[in-house]
Amino acid sequence: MSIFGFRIREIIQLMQYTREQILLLAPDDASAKAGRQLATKTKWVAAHYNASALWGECQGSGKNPYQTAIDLTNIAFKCNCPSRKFPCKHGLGLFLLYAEDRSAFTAREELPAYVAEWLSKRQVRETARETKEEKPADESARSKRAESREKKVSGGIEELRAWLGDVMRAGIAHVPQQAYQFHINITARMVDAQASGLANRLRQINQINFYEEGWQKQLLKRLSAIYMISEGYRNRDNLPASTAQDIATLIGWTIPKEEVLQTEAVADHWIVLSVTMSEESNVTTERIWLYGLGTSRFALLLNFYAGNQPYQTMLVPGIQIDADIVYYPASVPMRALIREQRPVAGRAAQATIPNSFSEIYNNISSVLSQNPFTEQIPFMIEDVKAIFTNGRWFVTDLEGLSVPLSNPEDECWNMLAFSGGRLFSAFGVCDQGQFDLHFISAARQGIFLKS
Amino acid sequence: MNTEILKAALLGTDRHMPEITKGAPEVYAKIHALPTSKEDRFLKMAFVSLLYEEAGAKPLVIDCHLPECPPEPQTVVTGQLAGWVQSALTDQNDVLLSFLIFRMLQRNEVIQPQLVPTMLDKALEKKYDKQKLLSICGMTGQWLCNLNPRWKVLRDGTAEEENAWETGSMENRKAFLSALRKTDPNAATALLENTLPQENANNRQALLQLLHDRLSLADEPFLQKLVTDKSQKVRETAIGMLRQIQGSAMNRHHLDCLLSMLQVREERHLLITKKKKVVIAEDVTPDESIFKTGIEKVSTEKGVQDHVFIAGQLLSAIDPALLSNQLNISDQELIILFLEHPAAKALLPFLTSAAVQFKCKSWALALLHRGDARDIGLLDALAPSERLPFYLQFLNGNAANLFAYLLDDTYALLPERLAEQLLDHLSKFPYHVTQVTYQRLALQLPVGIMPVLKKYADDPRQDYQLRYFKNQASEMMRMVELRKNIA
Repeated sequence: MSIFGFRIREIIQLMQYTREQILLLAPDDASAKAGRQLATKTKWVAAHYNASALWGECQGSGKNPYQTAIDLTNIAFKCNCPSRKFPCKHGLGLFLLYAEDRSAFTAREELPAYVAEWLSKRQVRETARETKEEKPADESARSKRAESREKKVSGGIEELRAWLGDVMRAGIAHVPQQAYQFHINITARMVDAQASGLANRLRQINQINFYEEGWQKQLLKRLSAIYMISEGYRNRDNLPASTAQDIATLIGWTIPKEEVLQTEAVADHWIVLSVTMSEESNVTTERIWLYGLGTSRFALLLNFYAGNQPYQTMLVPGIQIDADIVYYPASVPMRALIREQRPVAGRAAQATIPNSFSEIYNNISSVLSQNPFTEQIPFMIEDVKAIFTNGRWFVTDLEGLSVPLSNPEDECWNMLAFSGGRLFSAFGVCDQGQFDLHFISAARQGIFLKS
Repeated sequence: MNTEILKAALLGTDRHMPEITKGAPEVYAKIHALPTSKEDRFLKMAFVSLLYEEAGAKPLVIDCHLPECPPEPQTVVTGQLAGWVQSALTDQNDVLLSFLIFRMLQRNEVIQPQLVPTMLDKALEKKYDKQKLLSICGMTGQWLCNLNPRWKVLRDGTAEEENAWETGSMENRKAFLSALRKTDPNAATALLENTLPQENANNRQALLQLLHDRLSLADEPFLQKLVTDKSQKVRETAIGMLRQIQGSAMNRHHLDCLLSMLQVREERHLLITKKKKVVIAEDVTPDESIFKTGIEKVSTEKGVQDHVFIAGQLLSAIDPALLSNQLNISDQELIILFLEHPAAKALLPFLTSAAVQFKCKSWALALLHRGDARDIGLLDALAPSERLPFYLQFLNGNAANLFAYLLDDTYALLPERLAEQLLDHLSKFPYHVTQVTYQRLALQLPVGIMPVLKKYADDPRQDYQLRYFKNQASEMMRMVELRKNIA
């Protein structure tokens, strides 16, 4: 074991809203490019800042300059330009200019009316959200709905079990010939049965590469896990509460955010270790991995956006936040929500990070023993090297123990270039035995591989 | 156990059920004993088996050691410059990237290691100078080129490059021949001589034209053979080249012929002074053989007499210094006499051609002073400091040509007065050049031009052309500022 925290802390402080991080807030490449072009003082008629906000006036093609403001407490953008993108190029340009050339700004304590009004509205909204009271529920209607859903789910699960039995009886050898069709009907049935979690698990079969050796094991693993979830559902009354909760979540029961927000929070100084986006069926899933420097805990923020819905969180890799975080109830709590975010107050913190893959594997075993359906297990490790042999990439610890990497080849070369073949520290996620590195650091610098 | 399970999964439980191996964990026996269907038992066993495998996984021991990257002796760029390099790579802004590469090479700096893979990929693209890119990739670049077969070619060159002449595409072959012509002109001629008969007419002509570079008397025998080529295009190209080779039989023949047509006479002027004038003899009929060497017998220009047209054609391939020497007159005097000739207008294109080809300064100056020169190549005959007064005469004809001439690889700053005049022209004709040219121009504008650019950027008028130029001015301001910041 060795200390990794001071390195990470220094790196992160250097990275607080760097140019790259600001560009990651851009909704698309075109906005990032346009934002960069506006990050020059000649474009701004006025640019000011104080402790809580940045604001400026950018001369656009219209007669009056656009008024742009940025809330620095909890990053948010406001601009009166007609762009539908969020943040718009003016917001990005102003923020980039602030990061690159602070001399272009003049300090001003007094906020102009439009900034003050916007900030106070945000404050009011925050307070309203916190104090929002639940409407009195119609208990009988609720229990009726719950009973009806239980019935639908039970019916669906019995059909799923029968389908799985049929698949196993016939064998999976023929599956690659109809890889994308063989589960379509049962997936649709799970959607009808309101078992969205199971439907998602069935859809994930599409992610298996049936042209690559090893598909047999991956498919069997997914099918047997789905079967065991259904088994767990059948025996839910005999399971410990946390496991029953895991099973319910896996099947598709969700816990309302409001309910989660009421649970006990973990206050800490959190680092955003990675932000990744994945898209499926026109829904974008944002995964934000946080690490609490005080508690040494990971937290996963999950956000879902339909179509072109603008992103809500303005967290980018490398940012530190002081926040109260609440975890969704689970046997291994990981998914979380931010209950309250405060301005960053830089403080020293140390985290104990392992430097041996044996220890990482022990942790994986421990997590799987508590929740055998866990798919993504985060980890941090120090003093590792990237190596490749026969076209496959690995990271090796000081004892010479290696794990396979699932990062795409270009990320692996970036990793090797950055580290120069020397030791580095890393944050990653272990998914089905494959290790995917998201962030690496060495010599007091770091790179986010997924940016 | 896993093998048995996978076998059963593939074949189906109807055909095969996994046997519980000796020493297998007790859980399998328990599952096996369940009073449920065999599919139920199989799926439970499969889940347990795969979970055991995942939860009990151990790290691998791999015998592989990569060498470490040697320390970087050069300074690694950081801060704003590093940010711009990243932006230029992300935006695929080739203009900015080329400038940043130039600056880094000038400052002996290298890019951050994490950008090296992207830069090496860029170096694989044809449009960049791979040596320059490799230089700014520093030690990391060299080290990665040793490790990645894809990038190894950047360091070693490729087998394809070695065989480019035999097996490459026409573009590759042309590039190969051009490069060879630059380093070893005679070897290029010999190579072409050996393989030319196997090429089709178009290829023969295209490859032959590459010998224009470093054309010398040594090429005469080869070109002489091509005068009888079956393709008219090839014949014409070869003849054209032979005409240009000073001292070649054809060139000498043309000179003799020209000298027989030209005469410098001294005539009395205003009774007291004497004045020289050049006369093109109308009654001297050139030898018929000359018309088989690319000289037209009958004027193709309206209003130009045949003898003037023939003399013009001959003039265009004769070195002015040689001609004036033969006529016992200085080249300055000779050009003045030509320009005073009654048919000067008809002779202008031929005189220009000779001045450009032989970089004759006195002729170029005389032609430029007329103010109606069309060939920007005339400026090459002058020293850079002498060119300034003449740039603007090329602006109205073909602005793009002038910009291509002015914007050089050294990113030398343009004189402020010239910059102002260029901007003034562009403000009136903003679509004369492309956006890329605007960006490129901005990188050679002096900082002192900022107030002028600001004036254009702040122009309140809303005419569409002005609005376009306003945006370009604004972008140019950004680029000027950028250049200033990384001076």
